[in-house]
Amino acid sequence: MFKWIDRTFIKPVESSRMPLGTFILLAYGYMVVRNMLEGVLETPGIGFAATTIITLEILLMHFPLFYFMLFLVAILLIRLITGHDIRKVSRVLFVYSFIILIAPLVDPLLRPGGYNLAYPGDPRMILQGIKATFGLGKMHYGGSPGMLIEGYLGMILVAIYGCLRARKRWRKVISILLAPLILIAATLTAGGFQLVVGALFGGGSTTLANVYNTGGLISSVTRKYSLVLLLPLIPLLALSLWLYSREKVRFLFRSLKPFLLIVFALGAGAGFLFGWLNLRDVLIGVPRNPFDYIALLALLVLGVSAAGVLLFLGHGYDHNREKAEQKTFRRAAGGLFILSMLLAWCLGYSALFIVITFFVCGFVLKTPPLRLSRFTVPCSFLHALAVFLLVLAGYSLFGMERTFNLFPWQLGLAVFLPLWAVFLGRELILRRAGLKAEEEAKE
Amino acid sequence: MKGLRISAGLIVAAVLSAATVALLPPLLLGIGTLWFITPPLGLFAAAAILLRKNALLMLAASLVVLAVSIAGVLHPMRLLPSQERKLTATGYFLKGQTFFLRGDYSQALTSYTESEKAGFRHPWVAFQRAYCYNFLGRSQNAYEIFALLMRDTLLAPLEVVHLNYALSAMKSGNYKQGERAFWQALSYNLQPGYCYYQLGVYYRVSNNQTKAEEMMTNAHRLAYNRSQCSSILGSIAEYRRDYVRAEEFYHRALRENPENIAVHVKLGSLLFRLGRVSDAKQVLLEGVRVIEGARVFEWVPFDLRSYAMLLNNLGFVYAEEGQLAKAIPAFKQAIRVDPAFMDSYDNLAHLYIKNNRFSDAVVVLRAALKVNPGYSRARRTLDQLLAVPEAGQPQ
Repeated sequence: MFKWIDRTFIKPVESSRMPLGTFILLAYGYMVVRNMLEGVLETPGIGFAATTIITLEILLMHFPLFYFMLFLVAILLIRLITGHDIRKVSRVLFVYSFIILIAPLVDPLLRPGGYNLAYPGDPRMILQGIKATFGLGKMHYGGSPGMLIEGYLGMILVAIYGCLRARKRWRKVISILLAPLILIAATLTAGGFQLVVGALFGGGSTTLANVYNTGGLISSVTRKYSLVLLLPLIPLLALSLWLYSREKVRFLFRSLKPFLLIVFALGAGAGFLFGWLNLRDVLIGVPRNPFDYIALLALLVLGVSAAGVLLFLGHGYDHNREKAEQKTFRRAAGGLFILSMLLAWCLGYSALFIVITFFVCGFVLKTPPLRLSRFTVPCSFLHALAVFLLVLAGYSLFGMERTFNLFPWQLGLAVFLPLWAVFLGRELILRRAGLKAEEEAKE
Repeated sequence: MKGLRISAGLIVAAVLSAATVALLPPLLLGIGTLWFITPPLGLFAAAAILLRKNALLMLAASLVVLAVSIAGVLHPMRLLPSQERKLTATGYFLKGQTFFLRGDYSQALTSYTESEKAGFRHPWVAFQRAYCYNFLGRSQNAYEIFALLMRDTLLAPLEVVHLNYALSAMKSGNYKQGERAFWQALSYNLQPGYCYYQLGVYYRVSNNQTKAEEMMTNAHRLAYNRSQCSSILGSIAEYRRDYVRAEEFYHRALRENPENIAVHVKLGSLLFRLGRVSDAKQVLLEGVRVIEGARVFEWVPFDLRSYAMLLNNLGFVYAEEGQLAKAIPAFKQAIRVDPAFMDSYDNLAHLYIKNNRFSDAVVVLRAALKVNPGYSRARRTLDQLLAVPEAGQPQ
């Protein structure tokens, strides 16, 4: 029986030659379908918000981040317990993640109009669900019979898969015993952030739902939630990539230029500070909200990741490098690009538009056909402009749509011109070192 | 030759860096302390360039950004009055947004007004102000602002202003304008389901049940808040004494949203009046179960008044069945849930009176009068119970 399951359902997926991106897209497809079905068949109708932009935030950030967090935690735990190749684990998990479609399909059959689904952000919800399974109560909010079926099915599948793939006997036993734990850990990781944020910052006066309805610099509830998921997702992603390919991750880390990254991160953080300095006489409510500080942290991460994109793009189109290296750099740049865009979107639309401008500068600077990094003055100018745009992105948390109008020109010149001069010096040093001269000679 | 040119370039870059880093921040920002910080940093940057140490150069750049930031914290920047005004105006607006998102509309309104006073005369500020007025129940003020914004569609997007204008008109008693605005919104196809629903509510209040029914049916067809539409359609049928249809509508409303407590209340009440006490009890108990389930998690919102009505009706049903031991706690719980819902006091007092527990009735009625001293029914019953002559009569 188990061999048949392995032969028919697992091995073909594990040995698939499709790239990981395709599997991720497949899982994303399931998420979108689930959202749509929830929107139509479950009570809150959350799949379709009345406002287009909120629907976009839900479809592109909030729900995908929640599910990817859930999947990533599950993948990492399965990998650690079974010791199986993480590539194969992730392929199998992404393909069979279609079980997330069960809830919106089953719930309306049991109760017309579906259920009031919610994140399991409260352990009492899970307890209620377990009691409901044994007929000791009824699930009203936060869960549904469909969600329970998903959970139990997921647990059984994880146990079977773990048992099949663990090589040593003790690992097999642990993977069966820990299958429920994986599920609870994964569920609590996804829903538990709400608990953690509430416990840390709620101060006892804020109920769990109201943790996100506290105003502050990030106005949207869904963006706050996305940010709370996105920031812990970054180290988890790094860990899984490390397990995926140690050589490539080590290679990428070694290619980073820490001081350059610090300049970009500081630029974004300084923008936040300038915004506060300019408006502190008037504002008493910010930065006071926990999400204002989370936003500051996100800005610093944004600075690092955006600078990483520029660096990797430069290496990705460097003709002196081997094709395989170029490919790795370009993929890394793509990943960091998505991360930066998500971070910027979480921070606000003004920040997102400014970061898009930043990337336009980056593409003009680093990618063909223009690749202005070949020329000293435009290259230094665009680097300084890029840092300055990150300053503006930080400032936009306060200045919003009026950032360009509000940012004091004196401050702009005091920051931009020294940066330009410094980057000019940097370019000249690089050329002096012969790196770029060689590149031009080859061209 | 090329090497020489680059060296010259390095020298120029070093001089430029030293000059810009050393001079520009203190000169432009007017912060005296920076004169002690940026010149050494300028020299540091120049040295890094001449030594061709990129890491040191980036460190210099980081230190410049840090220096400007820290100096800004310690000393205010020198800005032009127009810049100060713009910053103040935006600051107040941002403050308003923060209060608005927290649900503190009074503070938000003050901040928006300050922002406008400081020169931020943007339609969006006016719109937000009107929104606050609406939340604070000052619909007339809201209506006036929305009407102003409506005069020029260039000021604010039509789809945003129009529906708010229509709703504020209705709420402020400018019914004709509101009705016209909603019909106009329908012709623009601005959220037609919502428009039909609001028109339905309006026609129902103005006692035009036929039109109200038509509007609610349209809203329901457009899938706008289906359960609520069905509930109102049920009320209309009940008003026409078409109890069979009313029951059908209420059941449909519950199918569409089993958590709609108001429908549990209405249906329970209808069934009770039809003499189907057992069915009524079942519906009301199901409603209580739904709320009890929601109450486990404090973050699931529910309407306290509906809950109190539900318990009150349940008390009524128990009383009808002669189950005094269950009726009294139901009424008491209704009072605890919503102390301002006066019917529960009244019903509990009458139940006590019916069962000759006059002193308990007096306690309940006194509690009611404590909550609402002007509640005449309780006053009358209490007076009758205590046999106190009307004021002015000779004793």
